[in-house]
Amino acid sequence: MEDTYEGMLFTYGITCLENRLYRGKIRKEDYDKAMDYWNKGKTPSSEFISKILPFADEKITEKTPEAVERYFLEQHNSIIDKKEGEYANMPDILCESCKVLIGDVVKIENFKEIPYPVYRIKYKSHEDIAVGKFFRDVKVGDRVITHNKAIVKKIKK
Amino acid sequence: MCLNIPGKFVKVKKNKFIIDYNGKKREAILSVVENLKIGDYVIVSNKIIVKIIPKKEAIKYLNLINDVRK
Repeated sequence: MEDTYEGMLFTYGITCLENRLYRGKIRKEDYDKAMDYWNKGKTPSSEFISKILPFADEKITEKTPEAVERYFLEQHNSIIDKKEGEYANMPDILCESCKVLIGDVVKIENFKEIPYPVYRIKYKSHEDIAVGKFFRDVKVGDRVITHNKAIVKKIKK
Repeated sequence: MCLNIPGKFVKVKKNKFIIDYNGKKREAILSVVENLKIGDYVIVSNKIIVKIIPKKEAIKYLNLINDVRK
């Protein structure tokens, strides 16, 4: 994925698209198009990004990859905690599943039923699973960023 | 925004978990939760059942969604 605003927003946001599809927030054809972009390693246009990830695109006013990272690592969880936008009045247990988290990989499992690994991640306050559907170049001990229970990227400790 | 819709685990069919979302059924192909039983409300992420949601919270969410749609 390109190291651009669009590429970085797509990298973080793609983990949510299936939820957005099931909630009727994006159309099936746009979901399929996004997956096609991802599978081919291509970065969508800014117009398409704006269409599939409108809330984040509007919130991130500085259109740089660094601003995207800052948004997801600093603002995103705060928006959830403050119950802004679509999180308003939503049960905490559902909101918590959406957060962007940093943790360490403690276990990797492969199941014949699914085509990507399932990782056990140790976060600051708990352990949980995250899937390697979008990023899987990780090993036990690596530090990762996860979003909506999917690994987004690996980072240095 | 990535809110996940809770669904009701209704049955296992051909080794897949059938989840009912207000009449619309989808499949999960794996579960990583313990003590899952039919009738539980669950969150499915990437075709994996990742969490059991207390019924009260699930109903609250589903009622909110229905109010918005009216």
